[in-house]
Amino acid sequence: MHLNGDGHHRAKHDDAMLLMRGEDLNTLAPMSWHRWERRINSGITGKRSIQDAYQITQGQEVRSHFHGHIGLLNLTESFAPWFFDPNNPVLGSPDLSNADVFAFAFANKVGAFATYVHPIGDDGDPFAEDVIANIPLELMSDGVLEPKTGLELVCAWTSPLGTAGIVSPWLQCLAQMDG
Amino acid sequence: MSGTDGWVDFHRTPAVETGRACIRPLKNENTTDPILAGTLAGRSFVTTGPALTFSMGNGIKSGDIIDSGKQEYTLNVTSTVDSETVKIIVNGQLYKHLRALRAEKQHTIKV
Repeated sequence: MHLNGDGHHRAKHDDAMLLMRGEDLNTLAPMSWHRWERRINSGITGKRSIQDAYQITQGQEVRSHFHGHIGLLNLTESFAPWFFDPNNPVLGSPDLSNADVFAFAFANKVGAFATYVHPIGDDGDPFAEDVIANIPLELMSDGVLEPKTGLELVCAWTSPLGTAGIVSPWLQCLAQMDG
Repeated sequence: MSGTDGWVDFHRTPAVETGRACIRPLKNENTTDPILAGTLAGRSFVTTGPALTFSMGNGIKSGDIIDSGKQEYTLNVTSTVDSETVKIIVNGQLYKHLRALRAEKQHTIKV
C-alpha cells in the first residue's frame, strides 16, 4: 500500500486514517513510492501516526525491476538509491543488489524488516519451465541466506496461489542448509 | 505478509484493506511493537476476505512451533461469499481438498 503515487491529491496520514476507519483496519504500513527520480513521501519515511485504535507507520518500497521489489517496514530513514537495475536510469553505482537492501534493513543500521512484494503473477507452478524466469531474481537466495525475509502472499494484483508455491521449496532449501 | 499495492491519493485503486493480515500481537520484554513482533513471528493469516483460523493439538496456532509427526487440527473457515475450494497443504503437498463451502456460516473441519 502506498500513501502517494502522484495521484489526484497529495494524501496525508489523516486521509489514510479515514480509509482505515471505513475498512476497520487497525494498522497500515504505506511504503513511500518513487516515480522514477521523484521520491514521493521521502520526507515522511519512518513517520508514525496514531489515532485511537488506528496506527500508520510509513515504510518504503525499493523498486528494482530487475532484482525484485522490496517493501521495508520499521524504518527511520530511506534506503538509497530508490531504484537500481541494468535497464533503468542509474543513480550511482550499478553494482547493487537486493542483498544491499537487506543489509540496510538488518545489519548495523535501522532494524527494518524486508519483504519481497507482489512476487508471482500467475496461479500455476512458479517453477514451471515456461515461467520460472518470472521469479524475482534474488528471492530464493535472499530467503535462504537472510535471517528474516517477508513474502507478500496476498496482493491485489498478483497470485496468492503462485506465490504460495514458493514457500515449500524455500523451506526445504532452509532445511537442507540447516541440516 | 499481505498488501494491496494501491494508493490513497488515487480514486480508482482497490480499497486499502483489500489484502490484509490478521495478526495475533506478541508481547514480551523485548518488543516495542507487538503487532510487528507478531507479524515477524508468523502469528497471522492473510486474506482478501475469508477468515481462516487454524489450530493444532494443545492450542497451537499459526506461528507456533510443534513437534514433527501426526497432529490433530481444527480449521475454521468463515466467509461472506461462497468458497469454491479450500485446500490444506502440508509440507508442500495437498493433504485435504474441501469444496463448495457456503457463505455466512462458520465451517469447522477437524481431524
